[in-house]
Amino acid sequence: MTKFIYIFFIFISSWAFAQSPTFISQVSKNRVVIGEIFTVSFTLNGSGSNLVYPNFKGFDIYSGPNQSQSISMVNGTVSQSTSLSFYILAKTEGKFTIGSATIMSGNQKLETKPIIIEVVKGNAQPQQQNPSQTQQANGNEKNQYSSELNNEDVFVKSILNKSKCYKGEQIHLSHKIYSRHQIIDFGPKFLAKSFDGFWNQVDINKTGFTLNTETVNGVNYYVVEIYNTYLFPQRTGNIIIEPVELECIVRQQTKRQPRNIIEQFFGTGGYEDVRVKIKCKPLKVDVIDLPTENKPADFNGAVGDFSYKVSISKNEVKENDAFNLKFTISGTGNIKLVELLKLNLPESFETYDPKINENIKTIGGVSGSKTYDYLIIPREKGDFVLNNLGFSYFDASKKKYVSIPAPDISIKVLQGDGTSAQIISSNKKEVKETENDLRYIKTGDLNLKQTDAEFFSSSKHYILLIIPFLLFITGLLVMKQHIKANSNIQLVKERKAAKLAKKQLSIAEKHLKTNSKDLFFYEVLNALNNYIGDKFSMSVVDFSKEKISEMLLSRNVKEETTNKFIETLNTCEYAKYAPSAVTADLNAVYNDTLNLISKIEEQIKK
Amino acid sequence: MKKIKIILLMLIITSVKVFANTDLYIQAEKLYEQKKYDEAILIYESILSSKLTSPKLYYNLGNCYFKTNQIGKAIYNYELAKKVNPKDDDTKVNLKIANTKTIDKIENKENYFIGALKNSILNYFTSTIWAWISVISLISSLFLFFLFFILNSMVLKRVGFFIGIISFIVFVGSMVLGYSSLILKNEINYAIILPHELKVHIEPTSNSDTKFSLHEGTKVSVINQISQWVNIKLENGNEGWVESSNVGLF
Repeated sequence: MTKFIYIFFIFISSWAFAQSPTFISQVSKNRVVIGEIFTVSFTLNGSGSNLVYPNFKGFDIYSGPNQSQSISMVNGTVSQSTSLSFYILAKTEGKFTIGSATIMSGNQKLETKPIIIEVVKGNAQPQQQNPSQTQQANGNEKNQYSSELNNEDVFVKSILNKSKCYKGEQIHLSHKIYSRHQIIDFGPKFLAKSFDGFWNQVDINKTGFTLNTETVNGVNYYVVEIYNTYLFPQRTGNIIIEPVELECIVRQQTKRQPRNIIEQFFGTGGYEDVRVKIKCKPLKVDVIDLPTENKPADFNGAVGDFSYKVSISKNEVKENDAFNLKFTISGTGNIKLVELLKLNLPESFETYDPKINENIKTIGGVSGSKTYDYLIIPREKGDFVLNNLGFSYFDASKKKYVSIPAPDISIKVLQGDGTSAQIISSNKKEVKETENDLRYIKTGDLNLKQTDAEFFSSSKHYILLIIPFLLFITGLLVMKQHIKANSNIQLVKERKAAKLAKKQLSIAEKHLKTNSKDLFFYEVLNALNNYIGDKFSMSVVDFSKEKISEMLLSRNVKEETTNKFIETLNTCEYAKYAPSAVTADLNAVYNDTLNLISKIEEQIKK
Repeated sequence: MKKIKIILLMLIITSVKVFANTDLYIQAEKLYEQKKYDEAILIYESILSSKLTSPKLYYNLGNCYFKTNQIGKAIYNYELAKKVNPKDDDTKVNLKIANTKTIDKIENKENYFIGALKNSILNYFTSTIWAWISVISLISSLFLFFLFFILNSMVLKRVGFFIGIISFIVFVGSMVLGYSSLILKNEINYAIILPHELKVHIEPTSNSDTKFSLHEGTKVSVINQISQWVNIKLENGNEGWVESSNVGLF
């Protein structure tokens, strides 16, 4: 290596112009920390050879030698220079000397001045590689020649204004980024997380991030305050506030190797932006419960400092007229979580869920006002008093309960006069018709009826039903009777025919005895005709001889008998029209007729 | 013919009583017009006490009570009118208006569809009309049956029989419907609270505990009646006893 340099210098020297050469030594830092890398360079303006550099006792050579060369033209004269540099670091504390280097320039032996380096103790572990330095394409990559960041260089601290507080009390939490190097950026800008065991409200006012400086242990830091939030513990005991993690970009002063031609020409700028992940330590909060002694009966969890007001829209109303009762709580503290105790109204007062209006800001604390607006409708007239309208809260700084009383409110409810319009609330159905729409009475005849005059299933009704029924039955019976009677008469007549005939014949006999021929025959004829008529239900017009014999024969009467009958009939008829011509013996006729009738009777029965 | 004459006669007899009250309704109308509601109430109530009613009377009485802010009685009379004439618009509207003035706002569910259908069929004719239908249809059916027996022509016999059967069915139907209609008319299903505030007991005795109270005009269902007490039930299931004199039953 040395030889090469030798040769090189010879070459260079042949190009040298007349110029008195100088040979100087330089360091980037005279005072360094243990482990801090700094540069030592030896620069010759001119040509030279046989460079001998010192042994750097007390130092480690990180890298080197590195050479560089430059040519410059000044006022027409061209000059060149060459330098050799080393990156070294100190191992131990103390004062060390970098010895002189020598070089032969022409015939001269040039020597550099020795440099004294003061090495001090650093405040962090040396050489601790920052584990999460990230690589980035746009040139922020970690350069192995940059000095590394450690926990003392960049860190974040979380700060509470109180580590012991009451449940529900407001405490302030903020975070500060400390950095030895300039803070360029950080993220995330706002806390998104929720704190377990707390209700939190972020301070919206602190949206800008101002860079300040602070001195800690004699070291200057850049400081940015972030994540201002107000916490309200919701339970008692030890609650741990989880640490926040964020990323930060700081600007580091450093010399490094030029990476490209631009950097070679213009220089590397002397700084580098490094991205760091930082995390604060967890914080503990000791939350104690609110005291039980002297706790007011109407206390409902409000902690802070408040004022309170109650107002009513009117003190005198009519039945069914509405009025408004408004409660206003204002101040600082856990106002958002405050709830009013249930409203205690008289039984005849109707009310709905109140309208709650919140006007709360988080600037230097959670403060504002909250109003509860009740719409109330009294349904009955009378004088009423609303009492127990006060409000209580716990003042954490004074460590005691504060009760704000409100005076009782008396309300007079007058009789409704029936013409007041109905107040409609959003919770009820719309009343479509009001009293003005009441329909008028019905005029004219009222069509009155007896109240107990129910017709249906009354006796009258049943009578009207039974009568037709009875008539119907009667009608049927009558008809049947009629038919029966008709058929009966026939039968009776038929049965009695013989008897009747015989009766009539006995009359004829009388006439026989008195020898009244005409009358005798008359009666016999009668008897015979009647007999036939009754027996066979024949009317007189059907009395032709043929018909008679037909009938007799059809009723099983023997032909002989039938003929005899007809003969007798003929004889009687003769006797009727020509009595003198009849010579028959009346007795015989009489007896014959009797016999005939008997015979016929017998034969018919068969 | 004789039957008809009897009926006519009976009608005339009943209406004689009515004529005596004809002038009263004119008087009451005038009083109402002059806003002398209390006097009009007196007249209407006197008509009622002589055992005469009509839905129009109840309606008018309801109006008078409403105008004098006696909401309970107003609602009761409107309900009585509605029971007889469920289709009357004026009654329905005024009842609705009166109900907005009650203190207790208990949702009153309307009749279920089937129940309403049955009721509307039954109410289509009054029970009296059903009675007359039954009489006429019976007479005609019996007459036709009679003809069936008498007549000789087969065609006429058949016709007579057929129409007779139909007629008889009408008779049976009208009897059934009329009877149901009658039951419905006389059923007591509901009650209206009359006094301004009425405490409801858990047992039908005056010295039993009172669980809750109701206000005038509230409509409740009637479950049962024992001596002078009525067992009532609300839409929300609450039950109790009140004295019969404190409610209007219908």
